[in-house]
Amino acid sequence: MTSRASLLNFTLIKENFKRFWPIMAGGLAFWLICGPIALMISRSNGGYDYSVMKSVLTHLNPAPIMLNILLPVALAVACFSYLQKSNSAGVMHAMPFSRASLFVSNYVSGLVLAILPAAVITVFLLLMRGGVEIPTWDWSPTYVTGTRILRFLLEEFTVVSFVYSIAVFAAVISGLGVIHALTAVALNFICPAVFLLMMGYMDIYEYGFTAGSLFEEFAMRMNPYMQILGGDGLSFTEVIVYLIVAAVIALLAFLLYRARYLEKAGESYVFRAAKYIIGFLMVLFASSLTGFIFHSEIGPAAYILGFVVGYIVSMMIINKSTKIFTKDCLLSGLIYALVIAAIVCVFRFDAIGYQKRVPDASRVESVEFWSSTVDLGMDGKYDTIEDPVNIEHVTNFHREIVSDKKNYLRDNYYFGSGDFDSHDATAGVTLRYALKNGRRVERTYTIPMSLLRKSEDMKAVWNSAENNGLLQSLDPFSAGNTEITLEGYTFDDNFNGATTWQNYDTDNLPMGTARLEEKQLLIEALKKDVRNIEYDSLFADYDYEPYINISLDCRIPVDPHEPEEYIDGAAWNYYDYNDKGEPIYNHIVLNINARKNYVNTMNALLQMDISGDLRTCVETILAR
Amino acid sequence: MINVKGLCKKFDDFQALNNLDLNVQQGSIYGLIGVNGSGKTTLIRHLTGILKSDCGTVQMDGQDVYDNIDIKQRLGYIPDELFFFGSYTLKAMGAFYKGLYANWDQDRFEAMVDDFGLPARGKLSRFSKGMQKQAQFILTMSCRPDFLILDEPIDGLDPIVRKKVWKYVVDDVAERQMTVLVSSHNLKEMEGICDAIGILSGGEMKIERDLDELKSDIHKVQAAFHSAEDAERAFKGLNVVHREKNGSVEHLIIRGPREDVEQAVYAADPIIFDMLPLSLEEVFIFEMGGENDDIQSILA
Repeated sequence: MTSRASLLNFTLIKENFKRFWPIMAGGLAFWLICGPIALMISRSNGGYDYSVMKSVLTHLNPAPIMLNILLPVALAVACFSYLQKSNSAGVMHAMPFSRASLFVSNYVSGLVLAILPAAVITVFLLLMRGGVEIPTWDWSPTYVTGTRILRFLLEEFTVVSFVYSIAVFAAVISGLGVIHALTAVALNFICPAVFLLMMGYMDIYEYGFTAGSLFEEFAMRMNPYMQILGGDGLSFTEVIVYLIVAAVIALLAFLLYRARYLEKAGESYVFRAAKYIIGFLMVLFASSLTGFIFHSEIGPAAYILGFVVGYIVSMMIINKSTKIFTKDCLLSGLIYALVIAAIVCVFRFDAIGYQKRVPDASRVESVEFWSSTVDLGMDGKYDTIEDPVNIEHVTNFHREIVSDKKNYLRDNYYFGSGDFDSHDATAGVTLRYALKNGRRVERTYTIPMSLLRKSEDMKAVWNSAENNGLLQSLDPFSAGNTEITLEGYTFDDNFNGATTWQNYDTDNLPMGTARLEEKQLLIEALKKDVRNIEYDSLFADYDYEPYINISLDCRIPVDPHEPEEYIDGAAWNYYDYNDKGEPIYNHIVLNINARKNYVNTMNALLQMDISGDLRTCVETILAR
Repeated sequence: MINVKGLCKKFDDFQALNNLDLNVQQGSIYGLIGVNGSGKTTLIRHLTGILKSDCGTVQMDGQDVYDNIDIKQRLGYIPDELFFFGSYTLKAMGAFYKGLYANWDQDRFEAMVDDFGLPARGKLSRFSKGMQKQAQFILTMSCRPDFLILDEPIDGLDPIVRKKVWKYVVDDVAERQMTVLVSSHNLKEMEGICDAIGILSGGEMKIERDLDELKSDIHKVQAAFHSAEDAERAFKGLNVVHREKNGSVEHLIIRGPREDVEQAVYAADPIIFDMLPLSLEEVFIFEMGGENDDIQSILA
């Protein structure tokens, strides 16, 4: 019976369940195969496989990866398919439903069917969790607790609600089944995609831009489906936020549904605004991506080519016609072109002032500095500068980079990394400011080596007491805990960069075979050279000078029950584990390029039992 | 009672309905006729609450139809283009209607299924177009609607079934005072059952009259007189809307009361005088401004 007061029409909901349960059943079958059945199959060793359990609960199993998108979209397409044809739209709206009850009943029935498979799987997991074989290395088996399994259901509900609400929104604005399905998928990823597109423009035009962790921090968080693919699940706050956003999207869809023109069923999009916005997005992506890919070959014409192709395709799709040169189409095409040109100009001419923006030193709390050449701390890692005087020097140097840009970038508008004279050696510099107001500013530059070499500001930072402190990072290294790898690099006289090199890996100098005295000699010599090295000598005949790359892998015992602590840049820091999976050693790896100004190091190497090729390399360095 | 006042609807740049008025008395059958594209289906989709008007009102028993569940509970609609849930049988569709309509009459449904000889457990998607139309008619009539809107209801039906359909409709009108609006191109059948007629043209209601009144108001006349002067005297003062002469015989279409026409013609002492009412089809062709050939066929 129809309840006149209620937004829910249970007759319609029941009918939807009767009609669309096979879609849900297909999803459930796939879920069962990838979850409970996979667990049962794995039971040969006496218990259910923990890794299967973990993959399901972290949503990194094939079932959630595929079904969290496909199932909500398919059910939204099914439940709202009546909107996409004139006859079905007419008959359904002539029946005793209000528009509100028709929308809400269809929305609810699709949502229930979409979440049902995950709910059934949750019951299975709760029943099976007692039989899961917990591996010995996992001393905190969180993936078999009831709370964790219920959290999985909450996360699934969040993702499915979000994706489904967007798919329903797509149903309301579209007028064809195929267009509805495509729009539903596209709209789910439109925000991250636009974000990535803008990052692409920033990367090309904004000198100093670095994407850094922006994608993880922002783009991935624009959609819970993408965020859970990161493997960390969703926090309770994130669940609340995503559910609110899903509710807002559903509300917007509801309002649009009430205003929907049923006579437009059969057209690609039923709202004029939707036509223009979606058409614009299609043209924007076609133009931008073609421009990004082919600009280096054919210049700005790449954008125009992409625009023309995007315009033709989008107009055909949106108007469901090959007549795409009508007055209306051409006018919208002209507006699209102007908007896209404006976007390109904003980045090309730095209308947002991104390139010139250097934080005032007084507003900076600290700055993390990294350079391939001026390696503060000599540890290959980002080093944090907190001394206000040094911060002032760094910001001065930063201003120098920005103001000198035109002098050293040959093509100073395309590709932020710049295009340098091939005979001019370059250096990489990254600056990460932590401002006092909590904001962060990050820039990455490739600059001429000469700019860094001549910088009095960076010289002052290098010679500062703060940097001397940073160099203490070499202190833990000793012959007893350090494994050494040597690589010799020599260059021929050809400035085109032909090189010969020799590599001495751990097979050549395995732990214990090298004399401890020799290793200690090398480490002490290295420490001495590093602490005495002059700023100017960092650049002495830098370009094509031979050098020895010395890699020091220091192994420090750790408390197995202490949480693992990684230094920024995990490549320099890793752990060894015992049979129980407990961490026993923390490794810190340093790479130092020793050149001819490392006199003590070179002499120490000559006293060691090194290979003939490497010895020749050392002698070459000393002879220059 | 169905009342439409000042109804307007525009599709992009196309004015589909323009300041349209329509009145259907309770317990009557109203025939809506018009050429293709005149706005009949658009009007019907407003009457059934599918489309929202740009201006004007659409009411049944004094209540707005749009988004009104109470009215829709009392409204039966058979569209030109049918729609059933995929893979549903007639019986399953009946069960769905039963859950929706408060006045659903299960006995009538079963009786009508038997009467029309349709397989209740057969899939509707496998029915022929005519069978689907019958199935929709059965479903709609089993709701016992107070208002019945039919868009080309007998299109694709054989004469026996058509007769049966009209019988059900007429019986419900007689027994329950059901109000019916029917749109059809089969004017001969409309002429047989309709109480009133609305002729739609270019989105406007051109004529809306009681059918008998409409037919008694326009006549085709054949007459011959002793002289041309007599002929002129006979038709002077009458509303002659079409006139032509074939030899000595005058062929005319005259609007006005039958008695007035007879009186005027007889006063001129005609040699030949024959007066016939126009059929609905002829009225329609004439009112729609048919080409000369069409008028010739009416007068023939």
